[in-house]
Amino acid sequence: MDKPPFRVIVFAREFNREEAVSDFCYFLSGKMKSLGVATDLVCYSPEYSETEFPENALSVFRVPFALNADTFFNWALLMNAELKRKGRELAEKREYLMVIGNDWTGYPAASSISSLFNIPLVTVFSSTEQNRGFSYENSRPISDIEWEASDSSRRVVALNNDCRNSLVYDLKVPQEKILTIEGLLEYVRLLEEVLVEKK
Amino acid sequence: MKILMLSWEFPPYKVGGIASHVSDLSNALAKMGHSVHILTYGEKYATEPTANDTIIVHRIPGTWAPNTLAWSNFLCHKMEKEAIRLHKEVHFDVLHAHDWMMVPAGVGLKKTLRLPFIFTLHSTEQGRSGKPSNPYTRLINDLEWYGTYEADEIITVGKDFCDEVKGLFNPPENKIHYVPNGVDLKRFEDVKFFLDRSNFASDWEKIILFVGRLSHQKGLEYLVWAAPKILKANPGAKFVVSGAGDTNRYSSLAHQLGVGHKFYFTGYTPDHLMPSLYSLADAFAVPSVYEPFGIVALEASAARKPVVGSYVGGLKDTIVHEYTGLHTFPGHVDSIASQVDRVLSDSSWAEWMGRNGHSWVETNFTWERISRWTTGIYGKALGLWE
Repeated sequence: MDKPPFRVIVFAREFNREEAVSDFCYFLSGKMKSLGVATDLVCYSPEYSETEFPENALSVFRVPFALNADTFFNWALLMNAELKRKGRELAEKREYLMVIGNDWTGYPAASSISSLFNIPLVTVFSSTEQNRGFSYENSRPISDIEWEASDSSRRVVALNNDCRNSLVYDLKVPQEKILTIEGLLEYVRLLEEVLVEKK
Repeated sequence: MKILMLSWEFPPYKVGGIASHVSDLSNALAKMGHSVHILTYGEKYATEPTANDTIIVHRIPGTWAPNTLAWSNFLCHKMEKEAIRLHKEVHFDVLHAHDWMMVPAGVGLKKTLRLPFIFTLHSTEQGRSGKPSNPYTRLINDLEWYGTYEADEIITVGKDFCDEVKGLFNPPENKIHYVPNGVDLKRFEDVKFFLDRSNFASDWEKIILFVGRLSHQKGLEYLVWAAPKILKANPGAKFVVSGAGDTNRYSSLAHQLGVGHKFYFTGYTPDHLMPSLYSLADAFAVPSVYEPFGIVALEASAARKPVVGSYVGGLKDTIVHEYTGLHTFPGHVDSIASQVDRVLSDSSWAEWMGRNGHSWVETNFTWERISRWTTGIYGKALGLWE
């Protein structure tokens, strides 16, 4: 397969094809491929691996993290250090159109790599902490991270209407900043054009 | 060198000795010509440059969190974001993080910015609270290990403590160092604010001063238990306790032992009043059961006071027995009582030990000397030498 000319990098908690977040990442990479854009996905796994999904121009880089934590919140934030390491390694070799943080658990690494390499940041939300009931002991810091992600991203993708509502009413995200998947693809096209013009 | 320092506590936010350590070390590094940026907690985002711009303090706000672990982890996330923004302007040479609360930011930034990472351990969870007994304390212990694992160079603040860290985390010998804390002697020579002694004790009383957190680690209960014996031989003794914590616990104990009227709990004493507080003392007591370094013993010596302290951790090095003060067996009430009595009953000998203490600090524990050691370690992390 000829390598597509443009790439995006996605940071997600995991990719195992048996849960919704992974299915979304796979689906997204298919959409990206239709635009001629390849996807690199960096996520956690107990062991290192690199897997290609040529049908979607998707490369999955799995990185382990050694520590156990007392809560999922602490684990997710700590684990992001490994996503950052791998993200930096990839961003030094490859040129990315966009960095995508999938959910608050992928946002810290996405934010770091976006900031260091000056690449536009987009965060994808399937739900907000308010959607999930705000009943977890670390709901407040999680929600603060979601607010920060929605505030510092160039665009925010809401995967359903409930989530969109919460982004607008709970996290005060301006409506014009919130995209659907189709809107995201439009945004990718726009970034492609800008990059082609630059070159 | 351009140094990025990470510490959750920095004056005016102080819990233990880390705030003073980071402040004094940064000042000494700046005097050597290095540029220091300190990322630390603040109630809101703020940048506080010093007059000559060689030290810049960047305040980062936290959030509400159910416990210290989640709070510090969130703060680290925010600090990383700010550090990346700063690095693009400043281009730091090294990254220096203090204690487990800064490990997530230290490691995250090491991996994102690829900077040499120096990690200073001021104490360990096992030393403070014993073997980890639940997921919370286990993670704190693991973060300490993680910091030593990921660091290019590790600094420990006491000789004994260095061995403790080696025993706990087994880091490679060539990357772990002992660099003690230091004291700014000028603070104690040029006292600017004066406390009124009559607010603490009567003229005829001799003040035995304790400074530190009111927690088991600091061993205050042993001093309280020793008080009746000390008072029997020295009815003029008065115990002044400065520090935040569970005051009621120690005050109640003193009352139960019938010596409550001989104890005065000042609560937290602000930094600028500390030199004056030390100057009021006739003897200084450090009855700690665990003390990686014990900066207060050095401060008392800098203030020319004889120090009676446990033969434990850093106090083994900062007190020279029968020269700058007296060692006691840790947690041993009779030993504390007899050594405090020796100091109180021979005032000229006590003064002689106080003077020796000052010279001991001047020779071995100035920040100028300690910052040179520290930059040597930075140089090693940068690969300038082996």
